Amino acid sequence: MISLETILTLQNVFIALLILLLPMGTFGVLYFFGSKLPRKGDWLATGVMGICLGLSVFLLTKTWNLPETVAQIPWFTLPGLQRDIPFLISIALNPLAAVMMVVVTLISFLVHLYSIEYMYDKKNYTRYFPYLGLFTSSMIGIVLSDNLLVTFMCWELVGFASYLLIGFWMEKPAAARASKKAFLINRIGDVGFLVGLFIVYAKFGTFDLAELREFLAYTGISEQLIFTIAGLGIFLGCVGKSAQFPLQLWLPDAMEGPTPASALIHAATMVAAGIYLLAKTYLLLTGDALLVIAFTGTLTALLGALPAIVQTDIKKVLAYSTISQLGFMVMAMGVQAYDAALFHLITHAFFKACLFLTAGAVIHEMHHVKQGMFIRGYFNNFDTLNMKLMGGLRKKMPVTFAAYFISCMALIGVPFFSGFLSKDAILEGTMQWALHHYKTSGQTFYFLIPVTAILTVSVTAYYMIRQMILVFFGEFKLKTFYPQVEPVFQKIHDPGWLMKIPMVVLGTLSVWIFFSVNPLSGHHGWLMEKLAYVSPIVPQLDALVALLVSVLAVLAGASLAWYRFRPATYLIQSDTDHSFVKRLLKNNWYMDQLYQVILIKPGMQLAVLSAWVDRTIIDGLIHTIAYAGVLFSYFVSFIDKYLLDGIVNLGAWISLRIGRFSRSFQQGNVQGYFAYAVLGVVLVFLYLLIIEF
Amino acid sequence: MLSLLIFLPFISIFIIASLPMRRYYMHKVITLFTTAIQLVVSIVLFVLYKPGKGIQFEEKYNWIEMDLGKVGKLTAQYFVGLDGINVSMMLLTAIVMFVGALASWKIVENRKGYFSLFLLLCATIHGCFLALDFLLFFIFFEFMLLPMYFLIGIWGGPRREYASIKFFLYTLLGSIFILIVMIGLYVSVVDPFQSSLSAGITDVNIFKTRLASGQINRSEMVHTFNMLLMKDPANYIPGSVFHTLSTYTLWGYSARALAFLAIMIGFAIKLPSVPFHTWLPDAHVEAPTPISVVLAGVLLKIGGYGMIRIGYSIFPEGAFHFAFAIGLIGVISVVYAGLNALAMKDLKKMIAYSSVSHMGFVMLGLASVTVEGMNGAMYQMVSHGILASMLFLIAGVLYDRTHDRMIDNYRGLAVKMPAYTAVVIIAFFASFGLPGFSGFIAELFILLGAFNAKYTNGLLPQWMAIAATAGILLGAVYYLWTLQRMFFGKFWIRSGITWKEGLYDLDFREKFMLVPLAALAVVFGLFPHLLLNVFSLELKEIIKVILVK
Repeated sequence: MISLETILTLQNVFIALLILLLPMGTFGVLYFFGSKLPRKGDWLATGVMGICLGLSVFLLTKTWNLPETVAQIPWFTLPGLQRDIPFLISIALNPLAAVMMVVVTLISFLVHLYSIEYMYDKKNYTRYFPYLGLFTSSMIGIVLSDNLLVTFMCWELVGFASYLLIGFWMEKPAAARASKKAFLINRIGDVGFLVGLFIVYAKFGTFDLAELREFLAYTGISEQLIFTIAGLGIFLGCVGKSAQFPLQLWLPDAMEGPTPASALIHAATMVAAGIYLLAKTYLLLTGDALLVIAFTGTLTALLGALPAIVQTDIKKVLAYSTISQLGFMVMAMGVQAYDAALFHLITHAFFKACLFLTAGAVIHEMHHVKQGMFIRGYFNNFDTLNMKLMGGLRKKMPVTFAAYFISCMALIGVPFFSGFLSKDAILEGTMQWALHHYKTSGQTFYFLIPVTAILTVSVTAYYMIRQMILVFFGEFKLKTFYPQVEPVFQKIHDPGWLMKIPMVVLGTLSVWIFFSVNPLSGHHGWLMEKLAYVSPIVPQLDALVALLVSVLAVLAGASLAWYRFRPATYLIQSDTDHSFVKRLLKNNWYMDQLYQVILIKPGMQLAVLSAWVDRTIIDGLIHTIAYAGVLFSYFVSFIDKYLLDGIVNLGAWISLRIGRFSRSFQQGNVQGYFAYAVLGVVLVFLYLLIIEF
Repeated sequence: MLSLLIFLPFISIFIIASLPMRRYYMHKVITLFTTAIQLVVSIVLFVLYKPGKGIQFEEKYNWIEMDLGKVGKLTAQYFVGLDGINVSMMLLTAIVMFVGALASWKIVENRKGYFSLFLLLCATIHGCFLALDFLLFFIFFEFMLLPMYFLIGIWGGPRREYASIKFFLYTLLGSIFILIVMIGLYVSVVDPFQSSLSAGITDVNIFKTRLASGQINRSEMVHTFNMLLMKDPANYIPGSVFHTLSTYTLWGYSARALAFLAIMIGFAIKLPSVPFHTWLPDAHVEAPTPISVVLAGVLLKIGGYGMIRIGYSIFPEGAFHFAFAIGLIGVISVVYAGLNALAMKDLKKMIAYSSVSHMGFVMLGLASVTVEGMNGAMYQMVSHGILASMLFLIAGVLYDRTHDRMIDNYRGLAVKMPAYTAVVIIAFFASFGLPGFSGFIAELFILLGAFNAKYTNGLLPQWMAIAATAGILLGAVYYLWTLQRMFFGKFWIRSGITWKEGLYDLDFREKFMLVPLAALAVVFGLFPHLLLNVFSLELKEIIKVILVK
């Protein structure tokens, strides 16, 4: 008898699998037959994603109040020596997964919608939507999977989709380079992830998280070095994917991809997968590992935020900001503010996606400006992403500006916006953690984390206000170079509704009310309450302190930026000081160059060296042996010819001589023969005589 | 059924030989048809094969019988059969040979000779995998060299003489090692069934106990080449060279240990593993595309297959004692060949070195003597057979069009050849182990096994697995770098490269070869049990025997 509950669970699992497989189906269909479909099948892909969104929301309502259900689908078994080792495709349905599904499918759907307008006139339109489908499906795989091996597989596939989308305009050498760089740097992280998997498998004999949870339910992870290594290995995977220090350098380059794809992959979902992975494997992380994670996240938050101050590329600022925000999430994970990290993940997904989409709208318009100039006969190949050429777009693109403004406020962490709730929770978490550790160990270095975090909040406010002013306020700066651009500028307008709707929806979702009724604290909001995790850290501090500090930090950064950039005269000409610090920030701490020197060059030299060894030493040895063999053969043939043959020839010569000699007896006359006969008889006679006596 | 696989090509050779030269189209068609029948037969056998039920589809006929009087009796059998170890190899051979026949479509010189030799190759490779009698195996193993030598030496590139003689001598050297061991085994092993008949004992077990206590006359012993009988220590004559208690030693090593080493070196040359690998890049660069495909797709696998079939099965204690050395050579192969691949400027040479690197994984997996590692090694052989075929076909596609394979001479090929680029992306990503493709499962298992060995049997240190992950990273580096340089960016081609008919995209024949291979890689990547079921039980038995020692 199957109970009703089982049937309901089965139904949920079935829906989850459907959400997983539908985008994969669109990938297959559009990849192979996309060029034959009307409009290259863009509406088909969008429709499917809409269905996925609907199903996800349905699933969320179904599973929200249920305990976690894990469905284990056997994949294959390996006959082991003692027992058969099962490999499972496990799916865990819990509130977190359900929320993440909604986030992924919602943003994916909106990005699909946006792309229909944004990408339509671009090259390779046929390939764009299948790649999005592949990405979404693999991403949902990460969200659903409750098995580390399956997670790893989806993890790599997500990276592959990201590779395809970063290199989407593959004729651009920069795009080709960026996609390779992104994949390879991720691969470094994945090797760490793999080593983590090896240790987990060796120690527990399974990849299944449900089984691991069972193992660790009572004892928790033991503080052994090997488990710390395992945890850090898995964390290295997160460092790669979530662009943490020191592997963060791929993300700014990844902006070579189409902007909507950047919004989906390199802002909202894929890069956050690392944090999601940490949440999944939280049980496996030892105290030491968490400490490393906390400091890595903090460092990333700061190192990611600072270069954003000097960037001129509108997307690069957002990319650096993404690195920094991901740093915040990792930091929160490290300081055991588990719920805050995940909360920030979700709020960030919305407002960052929104920022990218608005940036995309701006770039789109700048592109039109360029085209308009071309039509009017003064073509100039200016950089459409350069913020220093923008300005004053606020009045021309009111909807875009509104969406941008809301999500910008959310990112900065202004009260009444979603980002404030989550960022405040993280700041509070770091403070509580530092105080807790200070009280127990007396060490002050724990305070580095909250202090750095607060500093980073200020920096964030600074660079975002700077961007907002450069793009939306003041004068349209292209006009200072080309006064003729005025009529083109007048034509700048908000994009069509296909692009507007996603921006508006995401902007709206960046307001506090969707996450918590209280605009100043997210702790009792529906989401954070559900994600709550029993932290061993005893609160030492009133939440109000964190709130105040947070607001003050934002105010400081924002007012500084306002003061510095508001005077409207901030023009390109004023940007000529090339101080060392500025160059350092502009070049992202010269990390590319550093990697070039410490990793790539030695690696290539090693490769060339090993090729040389192969050609010269190994093959040289073989050739030497071969030549030695040939030489030896010559020697043997010499002996053969002169020594052995010589002996034979000597024998032949002797017998020839003997023959000649004996031939001389054959004279051919009877007298001669008679004489020899007589001689012979005499000789025989003599012989007999000698023997007798 | 199995003899059909081996002897059908001979019939076809006869037909081809009797057809006049000008009917060259028929030569192709007959070859393709023959390989197609073999493919169908192999698939049927693969499906009908029941895992874990011992030798199946066996055919056993007495072949050579000689009464040597006092020394005993010599027997060699025509003994073929399927067990878990060779069934997947048989399928792989059939697939690769079929693809190879298709890839030979554009051969123009002396087609009659080419296709006759190709079919001869086809027969000998099948024979080599199916033979369960050592002598038969060895004869096929050696005989394979003849068609390969001529196929490279006549239809190859500019340095074909050098490459073919290098290939020939190298492999011949390897087979000398194997020959020595074969003779030693033959002298040491008796067939208990036939011997008990000739000794007039009805019960084989009684015979074995008497044999062990030395009560059997030498003249009554029937020596055998049967590889299955060689596995059982009870079949060894007491006091013989390779008896488990043999006291023969050389340089402090027992005769059996040396025999294991000789076998491993012999097959390591074929595999090939560093430092015996330098024949491979040369042979690949000079060989025509279909021969490269066959070489990488199946011939290399005979190395790994031989290690399992002879080294690990007959001398299990050797596997235990030399695990570290084998693992070390495996890791060195993985990393060193990977580095070499990175430095290559010739696309085909890069792929050749990547083959060496991937076969290094096979050795690492075998060395671990864990369930994961051994299964991974077998899996890697099949997976690499498929992927390497794809990769060499890909190199061939470009070479067909321009007669130039230098990576630096091309840019942005994706613009001109989108379908080709898509296939290349799939093949490259599959080859460096993207999940969803067969290579991932194989390499994951090998690394898991190598890492786990410390905890289960203590044979390998953990750094080996971790060092081998560098190979995975290197794979991604050289493949992605090649992709970026050759296929992306603005279209550009070095002037002076002669285009045959322009850089047209894949034609139907090329798609027909490449797409099914890609599909197979995906199928084996998503449904590993299709292959694992076939060989995992057999490998488990081998591991058990090794670990008992």
